[in-house]
Amino acid sequence: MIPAGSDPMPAAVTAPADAVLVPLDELAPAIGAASVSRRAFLGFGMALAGGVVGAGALAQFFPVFASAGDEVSPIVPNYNPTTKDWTFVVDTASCIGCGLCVVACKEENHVPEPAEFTRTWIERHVTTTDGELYIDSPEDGINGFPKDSTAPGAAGKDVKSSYFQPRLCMQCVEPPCVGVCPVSATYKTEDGIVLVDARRCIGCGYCITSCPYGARYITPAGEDTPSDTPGVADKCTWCYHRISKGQKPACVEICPVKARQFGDANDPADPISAIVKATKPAPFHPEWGTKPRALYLGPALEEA
Amino acid sequence: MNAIGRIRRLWNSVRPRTRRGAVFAVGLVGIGALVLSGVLFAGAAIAWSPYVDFSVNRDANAKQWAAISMSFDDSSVCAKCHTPEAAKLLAAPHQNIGCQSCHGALLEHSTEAAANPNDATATVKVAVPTDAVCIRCHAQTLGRPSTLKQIVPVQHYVSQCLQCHNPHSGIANRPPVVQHPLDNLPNCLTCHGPEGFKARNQRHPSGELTDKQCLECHAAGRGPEDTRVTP
Repeated sequence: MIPAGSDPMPAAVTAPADAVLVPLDELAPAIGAASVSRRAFLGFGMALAGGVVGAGALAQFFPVFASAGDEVSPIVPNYNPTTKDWTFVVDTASCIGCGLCVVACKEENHVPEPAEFTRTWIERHVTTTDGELYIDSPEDGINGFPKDSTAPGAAGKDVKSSYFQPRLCMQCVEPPCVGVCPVSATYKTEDGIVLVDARRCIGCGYCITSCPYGARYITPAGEDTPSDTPGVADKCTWCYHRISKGQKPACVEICPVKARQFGDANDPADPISAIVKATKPAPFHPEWGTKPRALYLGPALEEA
Repeated sequence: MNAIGRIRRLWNSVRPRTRRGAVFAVGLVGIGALVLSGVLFAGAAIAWSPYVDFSVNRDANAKQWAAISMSFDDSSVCAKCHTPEAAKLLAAPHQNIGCQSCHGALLEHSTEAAANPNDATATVKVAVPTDAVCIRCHAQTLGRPSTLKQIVPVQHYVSQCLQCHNPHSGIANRPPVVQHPLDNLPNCLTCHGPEGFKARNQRHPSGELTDKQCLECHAAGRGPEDTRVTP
């Protein structure tokens, strides 16, 4: 408290002058402790410079940040995911149900052998003359198909029409599996491929329930799995390791009747644009609203 | 009196030694905070960097997916070495079928071959497809397009597919038809001994043959006029 009348001058005027006029000798001990000697300053400068140079050298062997002139994407050198419009066309009219795609997928991606674990499979859709639809997929079609449908109740009935329907992950533009994942383990890359981060996945199975196309499974323990992690969700990646290096997915490569076509619709040299233009494939079950990137041709669309 | 003046008076009332200690302590805490934030920043940068394998960055995971080793090659590279087969295939019904559809994954084979361009033997051997490979596509099955040539294996010839069919050229090797009567004759091998047919055709099975086995292919009606013999 300032006693009234002790100082006629207003405090607001005297305060700055008072602050500036602190005698230096009174503060000298404190300044002596706080100020930096030349030796300390130079030493600090040297340490800083050394640190910068050391970090730079370390970054050469252990790159944390992209440097100027680096590759476009850290995923694969010279691969620019932002320019890609990956398109997969499945022709159900020409599929012969040989099952080679399932064989190739299992071999290429180390998908476990048992039939309940698969990234791609073939269904045989048989419509009988009484209008019933029978679907069978023995062992996912990996060994091809027996002569007649193995669906319960289909035996002995007259067949009106039948076709094979190869299935795989649709790589939806609006994937429900990404939305329901509680730990954000599944995500969409810049090129639109939906991947699963096996280190984050807790194997809760929500994505398996949410996928209307049934494209996912949980990897078993004690087997060679695509991510080398048991108990996590796994699904078709359209052979991400192949397409990012300019190769076609293994199932496309092995298909003997070109029922599976794949390419980059943004690349004018890629025949997929001409195929899409000529055949006008359509998404399978567009009413599910997930905007699949995989497109279908043939009887599968008429049935759906 | 103002606030700064009072702080100054408080500062002056403290022993100089204590004042030095205070400045030192504040400086130490400041440096500590700087170092800690630096460590945290570096840690976060590493943890989120797409260039570090164990990072939580999405690109780091995508990079792991992209790093899986391949088994299948692009089938178009096969023609670089296997020119005759590729040339024959151009006119064959199998022309649009990639080599790996029948021969299996060939990346190891093509990589080894590319590494040893002057040594044709220095590569991984490729298995000749078995009958099962042919049957996989050509067995009569419900659901297959009618344009595909289909057989019922048990009603087809029992010999191996490749003894008559050449999948590269699409030409069936049609066996000569018996031109003489078959009644009251000794065994076929009495006249057509191993020496004779070995010289003509290496495809014949070795060992003792029964007449029944001979006639599977050479009986009348199983020649060029046989509609069941398809390429």
